[in-house]
Amino acid sequence: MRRVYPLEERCINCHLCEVACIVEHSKTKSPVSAFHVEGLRFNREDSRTVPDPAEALAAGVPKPLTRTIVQTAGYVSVSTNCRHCAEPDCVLACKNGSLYVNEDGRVLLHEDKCVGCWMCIMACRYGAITPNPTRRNVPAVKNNGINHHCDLCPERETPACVWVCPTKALVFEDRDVP
Amino acid sequence: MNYVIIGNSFAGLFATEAIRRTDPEGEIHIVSREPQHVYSRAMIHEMLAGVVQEPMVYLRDWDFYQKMRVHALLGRTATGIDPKAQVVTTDAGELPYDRLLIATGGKPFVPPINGLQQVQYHSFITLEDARKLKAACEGRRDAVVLGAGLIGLQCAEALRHVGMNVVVVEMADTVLPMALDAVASEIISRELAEEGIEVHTGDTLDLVISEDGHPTACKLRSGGRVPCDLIVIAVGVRPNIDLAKDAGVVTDRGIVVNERMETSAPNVYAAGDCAQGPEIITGMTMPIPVIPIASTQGMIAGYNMAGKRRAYRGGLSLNAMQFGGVQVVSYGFVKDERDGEVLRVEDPARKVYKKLIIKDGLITGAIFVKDIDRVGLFRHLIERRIDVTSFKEHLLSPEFGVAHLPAEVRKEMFTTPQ
Amino acid sequence: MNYYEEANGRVALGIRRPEPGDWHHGYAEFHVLRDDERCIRCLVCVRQCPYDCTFYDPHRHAVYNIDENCVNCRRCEFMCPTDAIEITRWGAGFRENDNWRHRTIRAIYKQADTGAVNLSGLGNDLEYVSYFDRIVLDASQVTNPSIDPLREPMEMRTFLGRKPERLGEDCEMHPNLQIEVPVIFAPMSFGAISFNFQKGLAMAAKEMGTYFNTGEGGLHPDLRAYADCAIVQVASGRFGVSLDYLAHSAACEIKIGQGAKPGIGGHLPGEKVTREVSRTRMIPEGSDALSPAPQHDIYSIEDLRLLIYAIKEATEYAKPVSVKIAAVHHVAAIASGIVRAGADIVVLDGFRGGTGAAPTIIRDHVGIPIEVALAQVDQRLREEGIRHQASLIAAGGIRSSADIIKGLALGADAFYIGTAAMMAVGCTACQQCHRGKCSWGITTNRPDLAPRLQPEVAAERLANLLRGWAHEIKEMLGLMGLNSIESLRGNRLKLRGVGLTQVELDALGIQQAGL
Repeated sequence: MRRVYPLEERCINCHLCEVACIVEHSKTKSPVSAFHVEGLRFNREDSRTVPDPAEALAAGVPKPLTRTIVQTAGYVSVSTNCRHCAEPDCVLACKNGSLYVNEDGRVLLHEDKCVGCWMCIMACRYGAITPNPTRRNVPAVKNNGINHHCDLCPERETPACVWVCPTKALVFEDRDVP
Repeated sequence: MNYVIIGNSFAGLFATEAIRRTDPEGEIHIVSREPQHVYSRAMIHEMLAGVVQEPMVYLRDWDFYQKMRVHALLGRTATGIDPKAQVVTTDAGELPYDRLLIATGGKPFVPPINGLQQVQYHSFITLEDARKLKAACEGRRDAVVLGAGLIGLQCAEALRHVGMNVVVVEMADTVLPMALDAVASEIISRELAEEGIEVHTGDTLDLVISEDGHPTACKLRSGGRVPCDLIVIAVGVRPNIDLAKDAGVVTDRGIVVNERMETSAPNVYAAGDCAQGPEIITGMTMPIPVIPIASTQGMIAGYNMAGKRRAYRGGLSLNAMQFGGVQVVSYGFVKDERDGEVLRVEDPARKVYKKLIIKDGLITGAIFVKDIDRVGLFRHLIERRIDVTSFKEHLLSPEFGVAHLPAEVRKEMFTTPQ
Repeated sequence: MNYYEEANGRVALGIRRPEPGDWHHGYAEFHVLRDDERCIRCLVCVRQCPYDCTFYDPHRHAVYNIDENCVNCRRCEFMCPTDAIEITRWGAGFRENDNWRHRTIRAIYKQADTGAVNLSGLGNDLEYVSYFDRIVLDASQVTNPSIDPLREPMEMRTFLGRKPERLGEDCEMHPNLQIEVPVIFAPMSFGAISFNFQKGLAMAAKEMGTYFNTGEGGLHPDLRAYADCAIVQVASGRFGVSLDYLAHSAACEIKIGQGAKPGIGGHLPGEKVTREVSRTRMIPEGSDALSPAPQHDIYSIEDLRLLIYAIKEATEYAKPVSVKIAAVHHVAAIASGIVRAGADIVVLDGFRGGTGAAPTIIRDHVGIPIEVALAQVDQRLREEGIRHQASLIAAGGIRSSADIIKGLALGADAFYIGTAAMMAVGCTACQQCHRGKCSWGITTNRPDLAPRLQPEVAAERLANLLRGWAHEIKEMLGLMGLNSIESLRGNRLKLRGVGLTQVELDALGIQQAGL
């Protein structure tokens, strides 16, 4: 099964993979609309809203709602995302069966079922899951959201992050051992 | 091959799927006292609170048993096991087996309390418990929940959500004494207080006062007295080992299993809340009644039952919960700080608290309150016994991530198929 | 400028106040315009800018620039996913004055600020005449039919080195370099350029059947696999020079001078001397690598002969030895002496040649154009009957296949390309090479910047450049009725001058167009 694998020596920490991921998963598929109109950012309804300055500083750069996460330490940077494991920790931890392994091997979410309990975040040893606050299936719970992780861009031949990377630091290939 | 599984929750479910994946032809029978389609006990508090619709509680689609070609004998109780004859007796006939999985989960422990047996009190384990409790809330006002563990507090929050006055009484000094340390417990206590839940720690019920079989008030050991017309007992769950014990299978606190989930009886396996399997930090066996462990143990048991030899590395205490919108995740032994180095980050204004206990370079306990970004990495560090000494100072920084791990660890995680 | 206030470790836009000692920053040359509609605050430009020019302000949730730091490298424009950035010149600048130009005024400000020598990267950018651009080529029409390169073979292969005195069965053969296309990658040292770029040059050279030159930085051990394509340089600092170094090469080159800074030694600023660079050059990390002006064991032409033969001995006479000089006055006489000293190849580097770092004043005012140097050297060597004893490589701002054709006709055997090679892999000629912050990963070894250029990508682009040029060269040869490089060498009759004085025409040895 083809998955996205990083080549960390080539990563230049530009985060274009995150931008492409956001745009691909937006409704409008246009970067300007996705960021400005759809407001695809954490804790922000519209990306132009002026936040409370102290909160803005404490929060640093607002985290974008991306399914691939560029992680950096010193000179090392690498874009990481869901490994679509054969025996996924998240599926084994999911409290109500919202996460499942699809026939093609991808690990997917029933978006209308997820209650935002975050057992999956606790379980995923790759840190590949983030909360998505733009959808709430249990609005009575404060800060509710749903699971958000890489789905290998089902509508594309090559995932958006792989396509956009300027140094080809992400590859989409099958490394399974038969 | 004839497979019989006693119990229809997470362990039984993942065992079924593992067996079917390995053995497409074998006969699978699931026996469960509860009549419902496979559901999540972790969802009953949200059902009680009325914040989710019922379909969200079930773990698989309605046609699951058909698709898996499983005989689901629901609403049928297993009454005995004969390991020599390899037969399970139920209240509606006998079931012979080639491989048996005991996945009976846990049963609530009810302590002896004066006056308790004179009234109708509630447990909070099954979907049926939740339905009964919800019905009982009609026309009642003052709930008392005994036990401030995860089940007790989730029940308390749900009762509060439907408008009951709620008092929680807990014997230990803090809420969630098994899962959290004192600091994290304090943060949760404040959330509960903000929700209007009254909590008494270091206390218990001395007497239940009743009238015509209904509670009217409770006397606390500390001397206080609270009005009460509804009682929930949630002091703890014990592994449900009766069937195994009666059959002569070796039990301790739970049904003792090895790394292949085999019990002392041939062809008999156990998994889930009823089992006592290997734990990775201590290397000993202990019951770990949490969903991810139950699921994994069930899956491993299923594979081994169907002939695919798999060894279970060992479990780890894992918890994820939220109260009042504050998330908490914990791993391992979060209170045992002896001989360990403790790293801490606290930002009370933002309700953020993070703590790690490191012994001989290995993380043995971890708590994360509010900031749970990528916490699963710590599960990896603990389970794979990765020495964190070389990057210790980065562990609790906000940007801590895979880039801080040693290159070989990161490469193994991200450049090979998982 | 005292612009910045550190707030929680982040740079925020504070008060701008002109400070003595920093006036040269007072007047920004460039202005970064950002279309606010298109800017999605993705912060790619913030992360990519190495010149402290682009920042994010969390208070306003907006990206802003400190324009006086912009060097017009265009990296942000290149990377922006919504094409929201345009770099322009800052308004009116100084009042129009052809004598006191913006660059002149800023140079004075900078020296008054620092008291130091102003440095630059790349080559002479002043408005001197380009003789290449005033030379045109012949084409066949009726009387001498052209040759079709798509249907007939074109001989692009040539050999660099000493040729025998006469042809015959028992003639004495000397070691030569065989090249499949008359373009070689110019000397650019590891330290001046990134390891990835040098590896790309080596890979492309191997792919295209040509060579690369190590420059005066030594040969990194990881590039030994490409030794057969390497011309190793022995310069005045003798960085990295050992028997082992000479052994891992196809040819050795003694560098007397280079077109960008004739008469002075090489310069690698300390900030560019990383650990790998220091190990390859055998010098301390972080220290400026200043090569001495002369080679201190070459004080006369006889000394040069000694060194040439010392190298030949050390390499068992198996490899050609090249001598590289800057094109200066009396270059013809100097070249003649070099050939007689035993050099198998003479490299002439014109005043447009590039560098990683040189004093701007020297880069822009010292040396002569390669076109006239080449013509004069070729002429003199022929007159003295020694043209066959050495091949000529021309360098110094070779920009296209047209320059190559014209250069061949003026007398060169092959060409070095430096700046053009960098442009093939993304260089935008911002002239900041000396600062070690190259946004494209070409002239820096900083670990956060170097990965921006991947060796495989570089190699493919460089090979593509050579392929494109080779095809154009074949077309231009064919249209002249020639089918081999060697038929064009020194063939001045194929060139004509346009807009040149008679003295210039004579110096180049070509006729006026129309005649």
